[in-house]
Amino acid sequence: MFLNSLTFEWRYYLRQPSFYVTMLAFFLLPFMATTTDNVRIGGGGNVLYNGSFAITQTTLIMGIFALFLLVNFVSGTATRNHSSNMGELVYTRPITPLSYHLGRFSGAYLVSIFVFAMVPVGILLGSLMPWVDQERIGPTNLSFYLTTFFYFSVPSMLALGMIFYAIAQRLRSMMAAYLVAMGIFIFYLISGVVTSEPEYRTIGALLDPFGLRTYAEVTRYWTVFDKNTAIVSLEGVLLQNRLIWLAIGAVILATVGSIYQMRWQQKARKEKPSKASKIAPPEKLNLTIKAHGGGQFGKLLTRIGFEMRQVMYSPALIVLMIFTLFNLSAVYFVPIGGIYGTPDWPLTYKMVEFIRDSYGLMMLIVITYYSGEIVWRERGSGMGDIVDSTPAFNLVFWVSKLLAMWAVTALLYAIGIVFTIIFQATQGYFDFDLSTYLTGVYFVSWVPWSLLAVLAFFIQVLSPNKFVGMLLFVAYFIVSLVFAELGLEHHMWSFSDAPQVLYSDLNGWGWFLAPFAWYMLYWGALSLALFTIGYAMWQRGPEVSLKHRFKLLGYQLGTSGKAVLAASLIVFALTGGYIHYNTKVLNNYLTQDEGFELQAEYERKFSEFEDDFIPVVTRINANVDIFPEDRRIEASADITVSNPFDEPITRTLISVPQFTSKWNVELPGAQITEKFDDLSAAWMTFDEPLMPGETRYGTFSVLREHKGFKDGNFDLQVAENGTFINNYSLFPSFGFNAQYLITDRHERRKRELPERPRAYKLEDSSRYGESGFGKGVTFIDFETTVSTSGDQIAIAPGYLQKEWQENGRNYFHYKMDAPIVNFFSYLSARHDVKRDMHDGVNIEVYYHPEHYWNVDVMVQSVKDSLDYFTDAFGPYQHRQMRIIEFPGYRSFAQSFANTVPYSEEIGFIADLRDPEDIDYVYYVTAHEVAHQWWGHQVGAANVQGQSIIIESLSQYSAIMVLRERFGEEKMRRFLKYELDRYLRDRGGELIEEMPFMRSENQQYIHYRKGSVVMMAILDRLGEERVNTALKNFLNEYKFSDDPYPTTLDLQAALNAQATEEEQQFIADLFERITLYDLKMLSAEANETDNGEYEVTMTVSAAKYEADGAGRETEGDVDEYIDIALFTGDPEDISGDTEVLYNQKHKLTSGENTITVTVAEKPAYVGVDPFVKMIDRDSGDNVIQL
Amino acid sequence: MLSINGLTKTYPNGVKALNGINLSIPKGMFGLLGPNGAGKSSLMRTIATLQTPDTGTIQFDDIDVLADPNGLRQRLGYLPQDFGVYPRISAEKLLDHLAVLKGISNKSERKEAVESLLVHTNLWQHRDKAVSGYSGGMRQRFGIAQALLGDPDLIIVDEPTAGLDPEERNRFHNLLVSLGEEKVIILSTHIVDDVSELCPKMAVLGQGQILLEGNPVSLTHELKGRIWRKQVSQDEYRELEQHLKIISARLIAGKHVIHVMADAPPEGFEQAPANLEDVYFSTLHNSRAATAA
Repeated sequence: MFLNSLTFEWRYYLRQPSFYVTMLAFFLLPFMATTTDNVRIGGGGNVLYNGSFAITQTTLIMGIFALFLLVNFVSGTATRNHSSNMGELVYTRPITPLSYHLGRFSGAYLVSIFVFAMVPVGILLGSLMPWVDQERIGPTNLSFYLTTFFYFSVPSMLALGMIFYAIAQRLRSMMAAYLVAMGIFIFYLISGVVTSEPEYRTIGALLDPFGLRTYAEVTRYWTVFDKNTAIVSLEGVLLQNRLIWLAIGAVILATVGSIYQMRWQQKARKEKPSKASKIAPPEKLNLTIKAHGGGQFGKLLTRIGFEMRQVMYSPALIVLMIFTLFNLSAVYFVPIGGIYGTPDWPLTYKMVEFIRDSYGLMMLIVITYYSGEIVWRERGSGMGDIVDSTPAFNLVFWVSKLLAMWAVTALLYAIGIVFTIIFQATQGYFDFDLSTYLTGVYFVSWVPWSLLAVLAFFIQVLSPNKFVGMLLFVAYFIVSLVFAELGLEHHMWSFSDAPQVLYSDLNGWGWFLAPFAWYMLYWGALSLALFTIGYAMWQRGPEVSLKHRFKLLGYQLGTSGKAVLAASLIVFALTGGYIHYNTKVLNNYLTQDEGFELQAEYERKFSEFEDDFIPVVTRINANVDIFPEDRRIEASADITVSNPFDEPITRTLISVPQFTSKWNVELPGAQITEKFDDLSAAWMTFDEPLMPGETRYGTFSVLREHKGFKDGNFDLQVAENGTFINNYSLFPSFGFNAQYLITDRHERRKRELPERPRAYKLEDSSRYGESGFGKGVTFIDFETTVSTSGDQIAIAPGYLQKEWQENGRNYFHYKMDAPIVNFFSYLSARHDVKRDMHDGVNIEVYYHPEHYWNVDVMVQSVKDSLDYFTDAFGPYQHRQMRIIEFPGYRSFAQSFANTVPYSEEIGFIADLRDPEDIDYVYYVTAHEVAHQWWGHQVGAANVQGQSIIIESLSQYSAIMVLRERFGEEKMRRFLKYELDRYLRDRGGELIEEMPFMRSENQQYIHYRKGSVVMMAILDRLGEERVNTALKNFLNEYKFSDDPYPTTLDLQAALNAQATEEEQQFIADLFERITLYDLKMLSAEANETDNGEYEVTMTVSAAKYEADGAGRETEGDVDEYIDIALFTGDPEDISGDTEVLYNQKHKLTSGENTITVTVAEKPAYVGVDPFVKMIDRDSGDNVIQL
Repeated sequence: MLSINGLTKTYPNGVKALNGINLSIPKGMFGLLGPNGAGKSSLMRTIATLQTPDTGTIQFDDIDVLADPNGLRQRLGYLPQDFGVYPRISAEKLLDHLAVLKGISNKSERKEAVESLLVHTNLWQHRDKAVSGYSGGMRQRFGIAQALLGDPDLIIVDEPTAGLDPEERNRFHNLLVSLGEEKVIILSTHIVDDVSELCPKMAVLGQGQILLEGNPVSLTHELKGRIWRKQVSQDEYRELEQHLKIISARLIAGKHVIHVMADAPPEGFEQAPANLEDVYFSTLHNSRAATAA
């Protein structure tokens, strides 16, 4: 029986089109992901397309889509007897229920797994295609495919299949199975969010039915090398996860699945005599009430009411709403925005973003499902023939159905809004901004989905049945992902799409809404046309071929229908023309490829001039007029240039900023001789060469303006409220623009550009005279007059000399009293100002009036930082420190001379009420203040390790200030974050991980690893010696521009304060990629006779040295490492956990036994608990006793 | 007056459902007889504007049905051969909903029409229950009720009495008769008695063609004196089958009674009164013989 029913299922599905369609889909997606750049499933970074990691990741992600497969095949099998009314025939046969069911289940499962096997096949074949970048293909290794398939796909699908079979068998409903599938998916999403914090990751790994997070956990710190070659083994969390889910599946199948019996469970329902049955029938009967055909409007109203009731009271919607709420409840568990786990205030636009992000995929599912359900409601219920033969116009059905669809989606969004408003209120935030809610949720999110629903309806009406319609709709979606590949990146090609809409509290919806509205009008007109054709093609009757329906198109449309169709097509064409005119005629539009081509052309044309000598700007006096309401800047600058080099300059390349319609550079004896507008470049030729040591006076002038609207590549630097632009974006500059080159190695290879190192070698002393900003950027005398509209404050580096009003505009004259690095910025916004004074330094915070929360924290941080840095490193060079908020389109803070533009996203809106949370506002502020020393007093040579001097030293300085304020114990959480980020991001390295001192502008090294390295040195040398070293280093290179220091100098400065052994330790950190693996294996505490506790611990230690690809070789541990005992959980930073014991013990490779005696009974013990070593897994360092 | 001219329809799978149908159907009841698969439902659906023919025309009074389906729908009542209903809606609400769609826009009129039909179809007591939960017979009655909504001029009922018990069937017949002679009522069935009881005009449809058309009484009359019957055993039946033109064989109290059509009585046969069933079966028999030959 088992085999019979198994083979029956197998043969049954071989005849089903769905078998082949799904096989094709599961083959194509991974195949395209491997062979084209536009479909990306896993991989990315520098891993090989057919390396172990990429294969597994792609397969696992496709495993989520396999939910659909399983429901289709396994639940389809379970319900088929019922849905085809075969049940009574089958169940009266003398067969063993259990083997019958197991046979059917196995058959359907085998079909599913067979279809899913197309995924590895797709990747494998894809990797063999000749056009794929061969650099990204490694040798074919079948075991990569097989382990993934058998460790992950086979058990996952078995477990889930059992669940779906049980549900469908029990409830006789495919719908129930689909809802369970959706439930499992949402469970997966939410459990991921809830367990994303490091301490819950193991739980997350166990709870993931697909094994994605399990795999992520196992491979968390895999390097690129590991990712390409290592295979997971079936042990630990992976094995546990597999067993848990198989057990869950088996238990559900055995208990819920009704597999021991053949009959459907008949529900015994009691008939209640209804009230209606007691009322006597009316006396007067009349069968001759004539229908008049009647007006269509009444029918429409009735029909709308009907369709609404049908969707609103459908079980599916109720389940959907519950899932929605479930989905939304994540907002309570995961900090909204923010960094280091500290949440932002629940601002309305954050809520809008949250709703939008958590709804995206769900809306796609809702529209796919409901469009099929609603359009085919009559056919599906069997009511079609009756309803279709009534004299209601097609339009009546079509309008009511579409409105019902819109109502469902609108309702789900409304639930989102209500929920997040409640969330805001429960967080103590009551500034509900309804208009932002309505605009952000309904206009920006709901309208595009609504138009997409029209497309879905249109597809359904042309489809022979609803499943084909759903499939076509999903297929459209997948294909639209590839549109870009065909050069169709412009949003005019992608249905209901529009350029990105960004929001900032400062700038509101800015300039984004108007173009968005144009795109929506454009798609709306097309939707109206589709809608009109849709109702005319609406199928009435069981099978009316497309051809016949097309013949009746004219009749069904009627005159007004034709008029509407024509009008909508005209509007579509006109708005399309208008959008085209704005985005491609008024503005320059480039596809990504075209952009790369230009960059490549620039490089080919000009890279030979990269090292040419260029005029160096030494003085700037700029007049900058900002017109925020027009997003226009008119600026000119008197400049002084000189030639500090040994050779005369006869011509120089000029880089022209973006969005600049007019520009000029005037220098006596020189002129612009050739312009390359496409490449933003020009040649300036000196009729009278600029001789070595010669100085000339000239001008820059620019007009930066915006016409019409764009499809992308927005100018985020000039805003109606919140302009922030730096001098390189505003003014032309001399010399080759290395920033403009393609950095992506694969894009370079495609265009046959030579390999280009990310940085010059550390030892290349020819670059020691260049700062990190590039050639010719040095210290300048700076003065500027800046004007803006009458209600805004304009800010530039310098001290305010004069402030006045003229023609209703505000003017500010700033002047610097000492040279500054030629890197400055202009800001303008409607700001409130908080002023304070500290030891002769003016502290000012310019902030958006609504964002007042953390201004005092910033002021305090500035004060503490000034104190510490002045004391530790030397005096502050300015008499002023200003922090200025700018719109969150860009999220960073950047330190200019005495001026720190600070994004609204990274501090101003942080919610610091919970003392448990890391106060990153305080920390970021301190970091930026530190740049006034590291960056503005000391530059760094333009070689490897340059950003270590600027950034890692600022990290160190900020952490010191943070430590002073919050105490050493509370630094643990912060450093754990830093270490974790370093370890994780090094796995995403694109080219090669460099040793610390050779970092090539790699953020995970100069920020994350920087924190950890500097803390390790601090721990070894102590604060005084480190600060002395840094102070000496600073004093040696203060305001020096030839040469700038390198990390070699930094290391020497540290070494000067260190013993030989310590120098070895520093070398380990600076010169090599050294990793430790420390683990507290076990510990026990015994009370001694005198009431003390003797604690015996077993600690394992290992040390590795990694190469740039992550290949590790083990070394010998011979270090003094912290061993500490705590009264409580050291994670709990707000609690009153005390450190009972904290001493360094010498550890060697392998297991070490340590015994210490303490007065009190410890609750937790740890090795290196304060994260001073670069430990590959800091999660196993502390254990509970 | 409904006239159908040259209607043909071939399904994508090659089946010729309608093969040159010409019919003109006057006011009153019209019976359409035919075995399963004869094309009855295709014809009904085509008239009911739910399907378009490949060629041919349909005219109802002054409406060109294929060009103006909505014109016909305003005057149409249609009971499909099998149908389902929306879930979770009571009979009364669903009828009311359909009444709106049919165009009874006045609320009190609609109420009266719905209630009258509920009483007439004996569904009054069950009117607030979901139709989807009805038994087969009740559901069929609901189907009849909705077909009669709005006093249509053209009523098409496809196998209306299937699943009804004899009492309900009588009731339905009476209801149809009471609707008067001012409407065109097309009754499609394979039950000969339905036609003989109700219809002054009829047609037999087989393999997509009209095999016979006329008045049941006169058609029956044509066979008068040519129908012979005999009670036979199983073996005899098998033998007679070889060389006689048996138009029907049925069991009466466990014995085979066979009817043959001939001008003179075969041996051992006695004359039987001709009935419509003989007309029907002989027509089908002839048609099959013709196809076979």
